[in-house]
Amino acid sequence: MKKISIFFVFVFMGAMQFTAIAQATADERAQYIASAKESNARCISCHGHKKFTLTDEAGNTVLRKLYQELFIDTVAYYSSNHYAFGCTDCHSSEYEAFPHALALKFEVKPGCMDCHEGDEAVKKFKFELINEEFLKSMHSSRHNEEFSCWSCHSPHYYKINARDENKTISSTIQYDNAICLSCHGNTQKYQQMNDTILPNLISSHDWLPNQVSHFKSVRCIECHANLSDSVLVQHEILSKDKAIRGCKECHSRDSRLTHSLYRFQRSELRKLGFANSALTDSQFVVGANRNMVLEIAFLFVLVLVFTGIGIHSYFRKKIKTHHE
Amino acid sequence: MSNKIYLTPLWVRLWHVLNAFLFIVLILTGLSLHYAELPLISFYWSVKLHDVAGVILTINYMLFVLGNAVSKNGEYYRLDFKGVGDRLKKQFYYYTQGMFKGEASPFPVSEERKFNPLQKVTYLVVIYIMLPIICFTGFIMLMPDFFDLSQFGINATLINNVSHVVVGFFLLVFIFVHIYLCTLGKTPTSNFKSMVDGYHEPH
Ligand code: HEC
Ligand code: HEC
Ligand code: HEC
Ligand code: HEC
Ligand code: HEC
Ligand code: HEC
Ligand code: HEC
Ligand code: HEM
Ligand code: HEM
Repeated sequence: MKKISIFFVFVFMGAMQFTAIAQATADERAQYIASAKESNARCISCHGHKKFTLTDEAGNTVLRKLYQELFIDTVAYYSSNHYAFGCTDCHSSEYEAFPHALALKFEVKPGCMDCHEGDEAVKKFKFELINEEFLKSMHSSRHNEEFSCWSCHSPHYYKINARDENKTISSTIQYDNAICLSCHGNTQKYQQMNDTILPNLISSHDWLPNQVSHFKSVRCIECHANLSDSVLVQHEILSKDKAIRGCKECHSRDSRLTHSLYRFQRSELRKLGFANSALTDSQFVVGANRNMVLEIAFLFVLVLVFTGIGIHSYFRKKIKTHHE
Repeated sequence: MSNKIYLTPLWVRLWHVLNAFLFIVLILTGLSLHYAELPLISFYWSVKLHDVAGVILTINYMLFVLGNAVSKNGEYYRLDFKGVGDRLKKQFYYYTQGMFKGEASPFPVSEERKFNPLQKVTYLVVIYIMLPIICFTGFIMLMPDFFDLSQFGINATLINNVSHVVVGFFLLVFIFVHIYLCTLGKTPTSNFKSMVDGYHEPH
């Protein structure tokens, strides 16, 4: 019970304390990080290194290794969305003691919605809608609580990507797909969720030509989730029999790729008159990119050529009959 | 009959018929790729057919260039730049006016001259400029993982793909004009016959 109350206190105060985090200037950011570093020093002394020194009551020391899963990369931590957080904002302060108490294994960890439900500061992300979509997703319905937002969003490193003005579409695609591949390309993590053999993605997608460039240039969710224009990242992952297989879904004028992420990205090429120009920002999709000016020029030239041929054959016929 | 001249060796005819067939396949599949919503050929099969036809066309093309380099047929493709403008004008005049007035062809076909100037220039542009471009840009698209143009920025991919489509379009136009001009032989079908047996029938 105690852990849960700690966490409610946090939510209560957090609302006032942290609204500034997301909009912080560079200076404020540095300040937040400095104070977080100070309060996290104890945890980081062990969790920030690959090994740690353990001291017993008699003052003996021993060097122990820290297992990979328990390691926190501080550089990534302090550039994540939740960079200003102390470890004990989410974890119990009883972790200060080592060995950590057994009771802590039963710690209830906060979920995204505990802090972000109705949170004005992050309204644009539409957490409520995302949560709804996620609960309908195949991952969630097959694995219940075991599969949570944290399964994809690293609690310590998640950094919003798609809305970053400095990021290109392709780097966002890579970032997003890496999230899926953290399980679907990693037997260890996959089997912590489901004790079956990890399906080989290369062979389950062997019907798709140019697989490497497809995986580099479309997000997995483009084929595996319901289309949505109200969120940037669709969260309703469907079962595999509902996945998109038709090429035309993307390779045509009304391509799926004109929605969500691609729709969001601004584009220089729109000015040049390319249909679906948001795409052309980072990639050229056969069949989905057409230039109106070119298309009209094509039509014009074709009409000209056929008129020429028509007139020529008319006179040819006329002269022939004239000769006869 | 007796004044027929043998101008087109068998290998040229074989090249040409395969080339023409592949072109038709490439144009139909190319259109299906570009206008995926049209009910022509499904996108999936268009990709497969277009890729296979593209590769065969490229090989066939290289054989033709090789053949022209080593055989007598290549001589018909040599362009004398001096006065080429005047000759083109003359031929153009013939096609648009002269032939209607019953004038004789200014550049009659002979053992030494298979093509009139307009034909020669068009074939040169098509064979030595357009085909290399379409094959080259096509191969880059064929192996996007191997030729990673994206490292030069999006524009490189865009330029490559648009060039492919634009050149493809001009080749489409070329075929229409080419076939039409081929009907201007002695009889509308005689030039087509010459592409079957190799013998040209003069006017
Ligand atoms: C313990 C509370 C807490 C939890 C749990 C939490 N967040 Fe946050 N998050 C915050 C606070 C506080 C901010 C700062 C902005 C604000 O006041 O909402 C923030 C900011 C964000 C931002 C905005 C970053 C920016 O730069 O605009 C995103 C996106 C975000 N969180 C996503 C998530 C996701 C996804 C989860 C779950 C996987 C999650 N958060 C879980 C408290 C939390
Ligand atoms: C003396 C080194 C040391 C310090 C200091 C330390 N930890 Fe740990 N922590 C460990 C080791 C070793 C483990 C793995 C063994 C275990 O679970 O007890 C661990 C495990 C954990 C776990 C995972 C528990 C589980 O089973 O899921 C969490 C969460 C954790 N620590 C948080 C913290 C926090 C928060 C702090 C700072 C308040 C902290 N730790 C300080 C060494 C330390
Ligand atoms: C925004 C909340 C949040 C903050 C801040 C946070 N953690 Fe965590 N941490 C979690 C959650 C949630 C989990 C459980 C992840 C899961 O279930 O996959 C977790 C798990 C862990 C684990 C267990 C390893 C694992 O992947 O299960 C360790 C160790 C840990 N945290 C250490 C820390 C340390 C050290 C800090 C401070 C530098 C910290 N955490 C800050 C939310 C947080
Ligand atoms: C199956 C994996 C997965 C799960 C589970 C998941 N997400 Fe996401 N989420 C993603 C991916 C991938 C992105 C895109 C990351 C990016 O580019 O910023 C994302 C992005 C987001 C964003 C940012 C959207 C934007 O508009 O920029 C929010 C907010 C978010 N998720 C919230 C949640 C919440 C809340 C949950 C749990 C209810 C959740 N996610 C569960 C994969 C997941
Ligand atoms: C935490 C690990 C994890 C992450 C991250 C993850 N998945 Fe999964 N995924 C699983 C597991 C486990 C299964 C097997 C579910 C089952 O059948 O029990 C699965 C199954 C699937 C299936 C097959 C469904 C079926 O019908 O068999 C698809 C498709 C899928 N995931 C897509 C995605 C996509 C897209 C992402 C990224 C947005 C993603 N996954 C992220 C663990 C994960
Ligand atoms: C072009 C659309 C497309 C893209 C992109 C795509 N998938 Fe799939 N995926 C499918 C289809 C269709 C199936 C169903 C294949 C089948 O059942 O034979 C599938 C099957 C799967 C399966 C189930 C495999 C199995 O054999 O059970 C998983 C897991 C999966 N995809 C994950 C991913 C991940 C992760 C990504 C991103 C790296 C991704 N997919 C990208 C269309 C796509
Ligand atoms: C989810 C959307 C999506 C689907 C579905 C899809 N593609 Fe693609 N495809 C793309 C994108 C985006 C690219 C651009 C890749 C790049 O950046 O070069 C592409 C590129 C290609 C290329 C490479 C062309 C080039 O420029 O080199 C081929 C070939 C291709 N797709 C064929 C297919 C076929 C066949 C199918 C159906 C089986 C299919 N695609 C389904 C999105 C899709
Ligand atoms: C008559 C000749 C050709 C025409 C008219 C033609 C036309 C087209 C068209 C219209 C597209 C669709 C592009 C888009 O909409 O973005 C395309 C794509 C493509 N072309 Fe061609 N093309 C021709 C020859 C070739 C050749 C010689 C190759 C060489 C291998 C080739 C390889 C490709 C490839 C790889 C694509 C991308 C789609 C795919 O993989 O099939 N093409 N072409
Ligand atoms: C699609 C149907 C086509 C038909 C019916 C056709 C018909 C013909 C005919 C009848 C000739 C003989 C012309 C003459 O003797 O004056 C010819 C020659 C020629 N055609 Fe075509 N053609 C076609 C497609 C193409 C294509 C796609 C190309 C090239 C890209 C092409 C390139 C040539 C060339 C280079 C010659 C001269 C060959 C030589 O003798 O060296 N043709 N064609």
